[in-house]
Amino acid sequence: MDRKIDELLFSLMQNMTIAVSGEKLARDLGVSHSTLVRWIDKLREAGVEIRGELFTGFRLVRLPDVMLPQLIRPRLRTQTLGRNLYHFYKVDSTNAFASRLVNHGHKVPDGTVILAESQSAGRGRLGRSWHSEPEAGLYLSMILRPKVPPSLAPLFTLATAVAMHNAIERDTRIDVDIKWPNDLLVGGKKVCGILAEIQAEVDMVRTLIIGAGLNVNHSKLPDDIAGRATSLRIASGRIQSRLEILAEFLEEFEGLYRQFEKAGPSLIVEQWTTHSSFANGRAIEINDGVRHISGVTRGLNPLGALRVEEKNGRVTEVYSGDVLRWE
Amino acid sequence: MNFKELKDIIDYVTSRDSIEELEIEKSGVRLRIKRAGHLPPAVSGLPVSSASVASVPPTPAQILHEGEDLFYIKSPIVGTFYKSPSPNSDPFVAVGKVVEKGTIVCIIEAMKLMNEIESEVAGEIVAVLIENGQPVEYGENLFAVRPR
Repeated sequence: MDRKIDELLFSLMQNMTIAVSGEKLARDLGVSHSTLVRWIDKLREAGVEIRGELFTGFRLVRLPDVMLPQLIRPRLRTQTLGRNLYHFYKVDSTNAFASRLVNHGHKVPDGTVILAESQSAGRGRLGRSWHSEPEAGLYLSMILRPKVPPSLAPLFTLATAVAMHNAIERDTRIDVDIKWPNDLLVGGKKVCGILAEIQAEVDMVRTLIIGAGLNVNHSKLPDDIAGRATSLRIASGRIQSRLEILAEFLEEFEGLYRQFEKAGPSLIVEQWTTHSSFANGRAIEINDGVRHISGVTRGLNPLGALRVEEKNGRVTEVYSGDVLRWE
Repeated sequence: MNFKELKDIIDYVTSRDSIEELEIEKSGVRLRIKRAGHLPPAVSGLPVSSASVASVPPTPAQILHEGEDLFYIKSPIVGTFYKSPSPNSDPFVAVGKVVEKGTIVCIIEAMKLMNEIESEVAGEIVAVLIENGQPVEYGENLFAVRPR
């Protein structure tokens, strides 16, 4: 957790017009000159433009778009989600950190959120990597302890997709689609991926960790994924605020989460169905691990599984799989 | 098709040397049994829904120790069975491995939710009952464990 570096950056942000002496910064933070220089380097590495050096003083070149807890807290409209925040400039992956936090026996409150400016080992499904670029993506994990049986837990990943969909549309007016189960697409290309893990007793979820990676301000994506991935900036032609999207997302998700605990998952299924062009009447091909199923989508079952009607009229409920092709 | 019916069918087929392969479809469940040599029958249940409803897999330990009480680790959700954390890494456990209560034995995935399944008992894994990448049903047996 980079709390002290956050303090350093926040202090620089409050003194945008002047160069603050390294001496004063180090004293205020209670660290040595060499530690201060190391932290400044770390901020620069994360894409924050800082002019100056220890003797001349440090000054920000422009207001950085960094997910500082100091900037997030005033924007939070949630009861518990995100009230306990961890922020990193670089971490292997927010999900991996969340899982270490939980496994090392720390008392982690429900609704803890972990944020990172960049991930060195961003993970996707089946060990696939997720491209992370500093100051461009929204990389977050939530640690949740929902009072539901494990069989219902996958629905929270659909809820995450719905909440992210709503947050992006409200904040940016960009049209977002949801591909089953929980990829977000803009113009047919992926902008957001969701990956979750649970630890559960037979009848009760112990811990649920949901990670999301959203491409916000990437100006360009690597050639090998540019054909199937995009960012909100590329799609809209302008820089978007990660902070505002995050605040909207947390509020949206908390609403769905509370509703789920109170009244079950029907609202999630209903909203997913409303916002996804994949929900009904879409010709798709999906691989469920054993076979390729080609057919037309017929909505979700109450557990969130995608119902696919094949040519012979048989309807298969798919719980796990990759949508390979769609029309 | 309930468990009893399934077991009766399997018992019947295994008692008849002449039957090598059998396929039955009943009330939405398709059952296919194929025998190989003198090994116990390998069974795969492929129901109309994407996950298999039941499988009574070859459990070498059961044959070795007739009547022995084995503990079965079951799947708490419908999903896909993964024996390792990623395709290129080693499996969590294999036959012969000694596990503690709480040892992660596999992952069941549904809707990109990775469910780390822990052993509920300490003991030795005597059979891995599902193949990597196969769908599993709620409550389906995943591993047979000889409790310590």
